[in-house]
Order: sequence, then structure tokens, then C-alpha cells
Amino acid sequence: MIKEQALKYLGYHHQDIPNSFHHLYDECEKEVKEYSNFKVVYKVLALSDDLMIDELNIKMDFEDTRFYLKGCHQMMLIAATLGVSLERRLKYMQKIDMSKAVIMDAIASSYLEYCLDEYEKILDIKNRTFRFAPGYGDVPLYLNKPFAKYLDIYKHLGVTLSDHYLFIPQKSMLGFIGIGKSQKSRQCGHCIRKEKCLLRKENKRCWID
Amino acid sequence: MLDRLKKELLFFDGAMGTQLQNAGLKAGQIPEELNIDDSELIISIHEKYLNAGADFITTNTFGCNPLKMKDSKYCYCDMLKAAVKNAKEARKRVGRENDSYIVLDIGPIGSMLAPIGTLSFDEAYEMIASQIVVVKDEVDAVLFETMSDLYEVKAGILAVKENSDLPVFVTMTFEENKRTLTGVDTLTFVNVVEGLNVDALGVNCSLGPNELKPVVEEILSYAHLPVIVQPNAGLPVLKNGETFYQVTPTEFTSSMEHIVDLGTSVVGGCCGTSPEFIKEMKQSLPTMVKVRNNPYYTAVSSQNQTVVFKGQVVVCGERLNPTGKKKMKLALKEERYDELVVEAIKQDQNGADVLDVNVGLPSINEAKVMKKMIPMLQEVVTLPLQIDSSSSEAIEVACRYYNGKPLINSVNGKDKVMEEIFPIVKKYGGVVIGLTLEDGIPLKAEERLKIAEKIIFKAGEYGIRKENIIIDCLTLTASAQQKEVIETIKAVNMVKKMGLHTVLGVSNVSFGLPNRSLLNRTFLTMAIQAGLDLPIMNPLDHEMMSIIDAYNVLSNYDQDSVSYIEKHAQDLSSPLMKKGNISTIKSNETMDLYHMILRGLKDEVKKQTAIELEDKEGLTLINEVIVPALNQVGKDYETGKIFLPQLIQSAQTTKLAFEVVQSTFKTDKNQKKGPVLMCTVEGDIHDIGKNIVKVVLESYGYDVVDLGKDIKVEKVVEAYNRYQPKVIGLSALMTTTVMNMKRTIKALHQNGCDVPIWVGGAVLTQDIANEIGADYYCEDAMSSVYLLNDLL
Repeated sequence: MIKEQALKYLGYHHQDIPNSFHHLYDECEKEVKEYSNFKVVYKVLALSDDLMIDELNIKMDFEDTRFYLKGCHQMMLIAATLGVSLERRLKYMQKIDMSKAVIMDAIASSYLEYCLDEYEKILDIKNRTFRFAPGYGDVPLYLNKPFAKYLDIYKHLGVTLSDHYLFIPQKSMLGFIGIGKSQKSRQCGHCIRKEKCLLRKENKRCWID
Repeated sequence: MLDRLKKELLFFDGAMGTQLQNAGLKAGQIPEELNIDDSELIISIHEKYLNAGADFITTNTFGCNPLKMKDSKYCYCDMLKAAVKNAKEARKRVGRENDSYIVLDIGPIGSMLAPIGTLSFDEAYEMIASQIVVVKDEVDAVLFETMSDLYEVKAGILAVKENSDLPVFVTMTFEENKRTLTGVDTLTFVNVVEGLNVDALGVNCSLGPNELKPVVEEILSYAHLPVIVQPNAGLPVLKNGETFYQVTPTEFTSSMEHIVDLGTSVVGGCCGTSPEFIKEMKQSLPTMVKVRNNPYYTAVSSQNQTVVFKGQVVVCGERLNPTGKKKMKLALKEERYDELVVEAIKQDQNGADVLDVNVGLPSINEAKVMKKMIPMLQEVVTLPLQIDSSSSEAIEVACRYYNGKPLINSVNGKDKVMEEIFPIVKKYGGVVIGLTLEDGIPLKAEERLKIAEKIIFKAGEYGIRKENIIIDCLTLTASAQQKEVIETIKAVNMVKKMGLHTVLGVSNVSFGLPNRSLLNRTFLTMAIQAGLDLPIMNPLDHEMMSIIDAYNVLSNYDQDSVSYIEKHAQDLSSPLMKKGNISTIKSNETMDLYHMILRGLKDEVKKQTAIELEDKEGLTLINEVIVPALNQVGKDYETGKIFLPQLIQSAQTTKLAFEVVQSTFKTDKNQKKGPVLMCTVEGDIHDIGKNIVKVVLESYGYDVVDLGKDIKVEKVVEAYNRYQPKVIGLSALMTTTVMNMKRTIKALHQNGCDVPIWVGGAVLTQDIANEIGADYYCEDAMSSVYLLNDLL
């Protein structure tokens, strides 16, 4: 699962991969796991019919959220990170071995998603949407700021936001999950990369259901 | 207060936030505004804590800095003043003006410091200093609490000490793995903040008193200063994502008994605690502090790693020093600092424990380069560094921007040098090397010992303990001063008997003689036997390193020979086994350079290039083998036959082959195309995409000047003027930073830049590129290569 997703991020299209690549991949995955320190924090907020979060005075009124969150009466905000040590290791690798760095970077992204998926399984959230995040579709990235503040991601995860709403360390994420009647499946028609996504051109998706 | 701290068990207050939430504080509301909006509420909370028996009350100013208070309706200065006024009023109302203290509370800034984050050390310093100056005459001490990043702690301590005479307390927040969220361990924390001369240190938040015990035990076993412990009311319990604390005041107090019994000096409470917790503790816990007599030790730290000198041999890598290294001199002059970082990583990979950093060249401003180099090294390498310079200015700057407790190289027996360097050592908390020379190097061991004694004595006058000094008995060259070589060994032995640690630059011994390695190895063995702790040497010298591995086994420092077996298990196998996989070597024996590039076999390519150079001229090899191979790789990538990691592997392989070929040319610069200026624009910290393009361009022979990530607009313009590139590449990952790309392009044009600018990044498209004024847009690394091939 981690490998399948990481290979997608690396642009793998069933090329003939030599065995040496698989060895290198295994080494990279081991290293990513060794340097990762997965941390997660979440909170559940009430969502009104018109997608208002009263507690934060934010209306989730965007094309994508109107589609995905319609019928949801709660929204879970969830943030996670793999930590600073991994960040440092990824930078270390970029200085000396770019191919390994690129593979590790893709694995780290995949591993973060995997850890979150596993964590969500334990939470066993009933009637939920998939995990969506600011910056995707037309949901603005600036929402990261009030959401990060509300979750106090610095205190719980050691993660901060840059002035441009980017997470530091980079292998961190903040997403939201609708809870309620809507269980719309994931689509990529609104994705910012839809015009140039190679996977989409082949009628494939970047996620694994 | 400081006298009482050493003897009496003193009490901090408990949580402020929990009390405010109980009083109706809503999510999103700014607690610091209540200092002005509802001062009575804040005063009443302070009063309750004072009445419960707290000796210290912390102001309601946890997040009251210019950055976090940006969205507040009040200025942070006014809230700070109001907060202190409230604390004073509370103290007055309960009649405890003479026996309780007001502590200015400072929490994390909330922005990660560079090099991992974007906030500079100086910005962090200025921000904290601006808080201190507002209320410094109204408070009794400053507390940095819930800290996670040691670098931020250092900026804070310096900001207080350079702007006031206030005592400083620091408590960091540790996880169950006994590290903070940025990876700081307990020993590193204690070693660094004690070095920075704080008045008390300790832990707060994250866990309850029971869970914090292992952390507190470690801190108490290392620390010599009073220790503060302020746990949460138990482990936070998550219900529907909301946090609850379940430990009662009685349970809390009972757990704290053990913590106090170990020698804690100050106790209090963090999240979930209330005045009842303080009251119960005050009633039940002893009144006096149990004395700890921890031994002093010699230890140097990076941001998250500490090396303690306890008899084992500590290897200091010598290679970050331009003396006698042509390539490094050039890299320093041309500001290609990345090459030095790579050199640091190589030494790390080969087992160095500490790295020497010397950037001394007559033509460069050493202090300025140190300020750049130190964070660049610490961004990726976690080994402690040895700051090596003959300029006190460079040493001071390096110590200031270093994250950790550095080794400082060096002082000697001259009063003037000690008077210059010791104040820096004391202020920033370093371990300093003392060279046993004054007016030249004394010939006899006894005379060198005398200088060592003088250095120790003088250091004492500055409050520097002997554990923070390592003595260099100075290696002399056997070819010039053969008789005195053994005096060095004798001196090491004598200094060691004084209970001091010793250092030597080992390789100096063999200058001017054949088979230097043999002399170096023998001298190293003799010196270690005499008591050498810190050889400054080349960690890439496998045989020298093996001597140390063997010594650590035979002296029982490498317990159960774990490290030795790991490194040397393969030594007795066949010579082929040493290099790893036999089948790979065999199959590569028949593989030519062309196919090696196609398959990206970078480990073997240098050897094969050299073999093929025996039959072909360099230029012929490039034109007939390397370029065609590279073109094939490009084609394979375009057609989807190979994917990104394979493209990069081939690019790296090609770059190495080029290096071998170019070493045969008289001038290597002329062979390269460019220069090409590249960077990730201001505000954007994602630079892997740009780095991929860089590696691939370099494999095609382009001379890339890489400015790095988050590069301010004016810096790009400055670099354009300086390097006069033929083409400029800008990268941005997010929509929010594409605007800075537009600003960069505009500024370049306004400053007369007329070379092509190409852009790339995840969210960019041809339309956006047109809109922001770029000349070209490239989707990936290969299309960048094709574009540049057309342009240049």
C-alpha cells in the first residue's frame, strides 16, 4: 500500500524496474520509517445546514465542500506530521543522493497518508466522507491558519505554518472529514492539477481507495 | 530569590488557560486580551494561586509576542504591561509583596526557526527582546515554558541577558520518548542551557507527573542547577477530539513526592491544574530541597545530540578546513557552500563524532561566512561542531548562531588571547581547546603542562570550569622536530593525570615523510594509549578509524564489541566480499560506460570512465558515449520507458562520469554551459522539484548556480547582477507563492535583466507563466533540459 502509492507519486507507469530499484526502495522505506515520528491531533466541530462552523466563525462555502459536505452535521479536523528528524534526513539525502532523496520523499508522503488512514481506522468514524484538505479543489489554503490554530498544531505536533500557509516540517498535513449523511466518493475534477495530471489522462487516480 | 531557590522547595502557580476556560473563554478568543478586557478575572486567578501558597505567579502572557498577537485588537506591549499590573495588584491584595515573585511568562513564538523553518535567529531574538524591554523593571524573573526548539530557547536567553539583569528560567516540553517535538533529548537540553547560564531549568506540560518521572529523573541526574517540574493534571484523555485531565490534586501531590525526593527545587502545575493542586502540594511536600551532587562532565552538543567525554576516543573530523585543499578554497571563494555540507555529511557517514569547521581564507570575511555556514551545516548534520578560527570575531559570531554547545578551537597561554576568547566561552557556553603554547611551543612536556595549568587557572577567573577545557599538547612534525614528538606523548599523559581531557591534530606528525599513513597510525595508537581523548583527523581514513574501533573494544568502551562487529564483520572475508555484492561486480565487469549511464550505476561509473579514458580522448568520450547515453535516457524518460528515480540515477551517474573526464582537461570551467541561475522563490520552502531539475541540468553539463529555497526578491536581483547568468529558472509549489514569482520577475526586469526566465512547479501552467511575465514554462526536468539546449 505504501509502496503502491509512493510509486504513483514517482510517476511509475508499469515500467520494467530492475531488481536493484526494489532493493533501493526497501532501503528508503526502512529509513523513512526509522526517522519518522508520527503525531496526530483532531477535534470534532458542529456544522450547520449551510456549512457554517459557528465555533470558528468559518463558512465552508466552496464548490467542493458544497458537494462533499452536503448533509454532514459535523466536521472532524485532523492534523498529523512525521516530524522534524525526517525533514532533516530528507534534506541530508538531497545533498548527497538525489535519486534516493526523491524516492524517500515520495515514500514519506505516502507513509504519512498511510499512518493517518490507519489512525482513522482506530477512531472508527461512522458515516464519514474521505479526507479533504485546504489547498485542494477550490478550498483555500488560508484556512490552514484558523484550523491549525484551533488544533494547536505547534503544541501537539511541533508543526508551524509559514506566512504562506505551508507546513513546517513539510511532511505534515491538515485535513477535514465530513460526518453525516453525505458519503460522496472522491473525484478529481476540481483538482488544481487536473489539466496536467498524467494519471488522470490515463483515467487513473492518485489515491488508492 | 536565587538563594531561596537553592535551599527551599518553592512553588509555581498552576494553569492559567484552564482557569480562563472554566471562566468561559471561547475557542478563538485571545486569552492575553483579558489582561485589559477583564483584569479582575486575571487578578482573581493570581490571588487564588497566591492564597494556595504559590511563591511564583506567572503573568498571563504565554503568547503575548508581536507575531501571535498580530490579529489582536491591542498592541502586545499594552497587554504585557496590563498583565504585569494585574499580577502586581493580586500580590498587593493578598499582602504577599515581599515573599512572592512575578515571573514574565513567554511561550513558543509559534513559528519554526530557520534552517528548518523560516524565522531567522535574529528575528526571534528581536521579537523576544521587544517583550523584555517593555516590562523588565516590573518583573522578578522570566520563564520560557512549553519550549520545544532549543534554538528558540537560546535566542530567548540571549534576549533576556543582553537587555536586562533578570534571572532566566527555562522549561521544555518532553514527550514519552524523552525528547521534545523537535527532537531535543534531556542531556542536550541540560548541557546547552546550563552553558547559557540560566538560573533554573526543567520541564512542563505534555504529560502528568507519573509519566514525566523518567524525564525528570534523567534531568536531575545531569543538572547542576535548580530543577523546575510543572506537569499536567495527568495524561490528556481525548474524547471526541476534546482534551480532558483526570488526575486529582491528591493523586498529583502523591506523584510529586517522588519527584521532589529526587531533588527537584521548584514544583507547579500546567494544563488541567488549579489552585487546589498547589494548595495540596504546599501542605504535603517537604519545605527544603534535597541536595544533589552531580559530578561535572565534559560534553558538547548539537541541536539534538550530545557527545560526553567519558574515556572513549571521540573523533573530530578535520576535513572542513581549506588549508592545503585547493577545491575547498575555491568553493569558499565562490560561495558554493553546498560542497562543504557534502564534505560534512561524508565525515558523518564515516563515523566522525564531532566536525571541525574552519573557513579561514585571507580573502573572505570569516565571521560572515561562519554565520552562513553554521546553520547550513546544522540543517542536515546533527553532529556537534568545533568552531575553529584565529579570529575572535568569527568565533563569537559562530558561537552565537550555533545551535547547541560547541567546541571552540582555541585559546593558548597568551593572556591577550584568553582575555578575548574566555568571555565568549562563558557567555555562549562552549568547551574550549587550550593550546599549550605561549611564545612558541615549549620543547619539554613539563613546560607544556605549566601552560595548561595557566589556562585552567585563568579560565577559572571567568567562571569556566576545567571540565569545559580540553588541552592540546600540540603535535610536532617528526621530519623537523623528531626529538619532541615523544614530548607530546609525555605531555598528553601528564595532562590526563591532572584529570583533564586532551586533543591532538594527529596528521601533523608525518609532514614531509613517506608513507604518512603509517606514521599517523602509529602516532595515534601511542597517543591514545597515553590518554588522547579527541584526535582531530580524517574520518575517511579507514585504517585510522579501525585503530579507534579496536581501542574502544580493548578498553571496554564498546560494550560487547557491538559497534566493532557491525563495522568489521566483513573484514576477514574475501577481498571481493568487502565491496559487497559479487554478482554486481562481475556483471559490471562487462558493462561499458554507455550502459552504466543507462542503468544509473553511479557507484561504479568513475572506475569505468577512467578505463575508457585510456582508449579515448576526453572530448571523444563525451561526444561518442556520454552524450548519446544521456540522450537515450532522456528519450526513455519521455516515452515512459523509465520513470523519475531512474532518470535521476542516470543523471547522477553522468555527472560523476563528467567529473572524471573534466579532471583530464586543463581548464574545467570552459567546458560547462551557463551559468544558469536557479532558486525556489520567496515564501516557498519546497525545493525538491528545483533540486531535481538542477541535478538533471548538471548532468547535461550546465553550470548551475543554486541560490536555494525561500529566496527574497532582492537576493535574486543581487545574484543576477553578480553571476550574470544566461538564463534564470524560478520554482514555486503553491498558488500562494506564485505571486512572489511574479514579483521576482518584475524586479529582475526593472533591474535591466533581459535574459530568458523559465518557471516551473506543481501549480504552474503555461497560462500562469504568461500571466506572471515568465518567458518559458517547463513541466519537468527533461523539458527544462530541452529548453536550455535550445536557448544556449
